[in-house]
Amino acid sequence: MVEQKIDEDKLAEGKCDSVDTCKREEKKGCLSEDWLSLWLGLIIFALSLGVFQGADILGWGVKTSVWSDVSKAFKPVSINYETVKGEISKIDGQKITLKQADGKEVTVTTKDDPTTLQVGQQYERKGLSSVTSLLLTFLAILVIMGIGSQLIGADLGKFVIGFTLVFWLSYLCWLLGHNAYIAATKNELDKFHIGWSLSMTGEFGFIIALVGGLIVGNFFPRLAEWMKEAARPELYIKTAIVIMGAGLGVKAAQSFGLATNIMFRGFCAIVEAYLIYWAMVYYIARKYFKFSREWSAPLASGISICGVSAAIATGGAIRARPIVPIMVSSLVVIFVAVEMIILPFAAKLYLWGEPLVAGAWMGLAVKSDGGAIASGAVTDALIRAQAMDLSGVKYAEGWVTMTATTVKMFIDIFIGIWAFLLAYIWCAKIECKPGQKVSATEIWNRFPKFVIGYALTFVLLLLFCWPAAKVMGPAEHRMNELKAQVTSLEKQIAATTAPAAQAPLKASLQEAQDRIKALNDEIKAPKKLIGTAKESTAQGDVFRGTFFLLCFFTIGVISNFKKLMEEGIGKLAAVYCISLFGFIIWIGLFISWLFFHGVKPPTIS
Amino acid sequence: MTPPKLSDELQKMEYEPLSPAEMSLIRWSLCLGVGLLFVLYWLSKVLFPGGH
Repeated sequence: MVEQKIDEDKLAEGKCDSVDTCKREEKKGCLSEDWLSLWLGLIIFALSLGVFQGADILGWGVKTSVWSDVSKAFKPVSINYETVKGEISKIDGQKITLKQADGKEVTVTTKDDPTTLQVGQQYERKGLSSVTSLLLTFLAILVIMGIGSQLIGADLGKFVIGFTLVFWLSYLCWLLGHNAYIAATKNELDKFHIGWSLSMTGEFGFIIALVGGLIVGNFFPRLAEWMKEAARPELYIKTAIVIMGAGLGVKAAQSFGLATNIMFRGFCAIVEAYLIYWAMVYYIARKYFKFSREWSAPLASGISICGVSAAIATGGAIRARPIVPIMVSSLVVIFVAVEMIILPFAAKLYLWGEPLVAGAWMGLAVKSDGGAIASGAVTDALIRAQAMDLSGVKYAEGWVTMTATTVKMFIDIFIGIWAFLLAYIWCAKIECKPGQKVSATEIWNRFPKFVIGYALTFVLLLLFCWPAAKVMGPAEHRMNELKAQVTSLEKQIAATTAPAAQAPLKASLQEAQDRIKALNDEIKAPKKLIGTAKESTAQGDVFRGTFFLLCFFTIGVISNFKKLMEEGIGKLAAVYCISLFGFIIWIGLFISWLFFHGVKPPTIS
Repeated sequence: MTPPKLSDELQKMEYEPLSPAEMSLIRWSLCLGVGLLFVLYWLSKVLFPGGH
């Protein structure tokens, strides 16, 4: 295959101009970015599982919260690493419950002899400072990514410098995005003692990071050059997706019916996207813009399926010259950045009543893994905030992201099959290049390997939590009914004065309360297991969030509008623009609505 | 070394009219897409009736 003999980076950078001069040099790396993301994600996932054995391995990871006082903006994700102080309100073996200055209660494990402690006494346990937690997070990711950079053959020195710049600038944007005036939702205004806020949630930090990256990439080319070795958005997002699988697995275990529902509908949505989008874009490019077959096929795949990887796969399938998918990919990155800024906010305004339609729409309309899933995460936060502000409905976190991810995963899985089909049709019916052979191994070669990691973490946590969730679901449902019954009985007893009439009511009340107690005992063990699973995924989530952030920032860094304009991208951009804004996002919206309308995420009471 | 410029590449591109095989591919793809739209929508209603 032509593109396997050519170093596409060299060609894109203009360091060569023919097959001979563009031949690949012997690479030092032994892994592709795809495989690396799979291993990185699995390592972080494995470390996060320590919680199940009582080992808090990743608890020092930094968690950023909405802030009005920057000193309270970040802290370790696990309470075991946090400094806690307050009045002891309960002692249960080594576990003590503290009432903090803000009135909140926390339960911590103490290393002190519990017999020396007593209720009412002030207690303080020293932990990591916030700054140490942040520094540790940076160093840990730097080390793991530094080793990874060696495995993919990157220059370590340049990677370390680039990564350091990318990390700290990204984090600055993230911190800014968490400022209460930007992030706090309307129900949180009193908590932060502020009179107004943009109600964008902390995920707005992703958008700030994207804009920050765009500023660096387009106005500070020398700084962008320093970051180049670490500007790898696809590596970051794929690693994040592998980690995210675990969290989504726990959610799926808790709402298994909804999860399978989303998967089936996600599959339906992408079958449509492949068949309808691709044909339309190909027709427009060929008929109205007079592009050749070599340009039209990768362009159609890039615009309609999944940007960079689909354009490259299709380019390979029809034996296009490497410059074709490279140019299409450059264009995809630019439009992804534009879409990421516009679509989540459009979804917030118009789709807050149909959160999963919005999630599927992000998966179908935003044309790269990084862009789509990151947009899904922003949309998730924006829609939950909007639903809370406008209707008081509190949707559970993560379902919009899960829908966007599911749709995108199916799209990725099918790229290999699509490339194989195109290669077959091209060779059999359209134009067969000399020496072209079509092999089914192409499907595996094109298969995105990080999807294996995502499926693995998802299925492991799903299977692990499912038995517990199966017990908890009906028990909690029954408990809610009983609680409603208790409230109703208490009202009736208060309204009844005659002791004779009160007696049966009191008996019923006692019976309901006993059953609640029995149910509570019954779900104690499953509840603990689900709680531990959530704690474990919360630790992985710190790294997932950081990789998301790095992805947003670096998408901005590599989106060089000026360079593309100099290249004379006009005609190509016109097809992209007309197709994307003319019908792709609208058909995507229609298909998302068709398959996902009325399917709602669980709500939190 | 002169980098390959997109504008030059596009200028070099020769006009190739849509062949009957390409038109068939487009038609089949669209027809299959629209046909499957109905089938899959029906299936989603049957298998997951709570959604709509």
